[in-house]
Amino acid sequence: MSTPPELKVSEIFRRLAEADVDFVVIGGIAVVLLGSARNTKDLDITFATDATNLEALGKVLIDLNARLRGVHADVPFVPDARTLRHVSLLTLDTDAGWLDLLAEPPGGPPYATLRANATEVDLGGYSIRVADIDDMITMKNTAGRLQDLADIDELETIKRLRKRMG
Amino acid sequence: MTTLERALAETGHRLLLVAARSEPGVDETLIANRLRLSPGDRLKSFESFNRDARQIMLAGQRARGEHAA
Repeated sequence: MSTPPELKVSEIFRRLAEADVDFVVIGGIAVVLLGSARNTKDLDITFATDATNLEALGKVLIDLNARLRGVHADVPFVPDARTLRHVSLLTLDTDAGWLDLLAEPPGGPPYATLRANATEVDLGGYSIRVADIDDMITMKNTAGRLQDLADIDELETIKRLRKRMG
Repeated sequence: MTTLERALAETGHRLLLVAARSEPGVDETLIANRLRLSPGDRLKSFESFNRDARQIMLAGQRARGEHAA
């Protein structure tokens, strides 16, 4: 099994934010931003599916040299708005690491709700949205893999400690 | 439960019910320390750890004579 590329999360976030892409961070990186010390190999995001946003997201993906992960380079693939309109899940390899796009994350609320519940996080010069802890727990419950169950334990602990720490 | 007891009895065993306190699988101290950081610092910490972990993985592959990307 090959070693995953270095995951440059800040680089991807900065590019998405600068291009005004409407997205919410979910998955392992959301768990990290919420307070876990766990590691992950990829960045998962969900996004608004209106034409303007897909156009902006597609441009960022092309700039990041996004290609289908685990698929031979000969397979033609252009990660533009047209492609994004037709897929619900894309697992990509980019020059800044592995990036997974989920139009409708399993178990999650509709994007508008997920976005409204999300927390806006300032990363110094730009900001991103991170999924709400309860929405994360719901999605992790639906996914149900061992890592998701471990994440739920951590997220429940984070909730409890947040209350205690004020 | 009764069926299990009977089955065990047939093999010369008996059923014991033990309630053990579950050990927390989560390192609360580590999480509490993370919560004291800003999200930006949590991200920096993650990226640094991820970079180091990858270097260790690559070094391991080289030591085993495997192709390291």
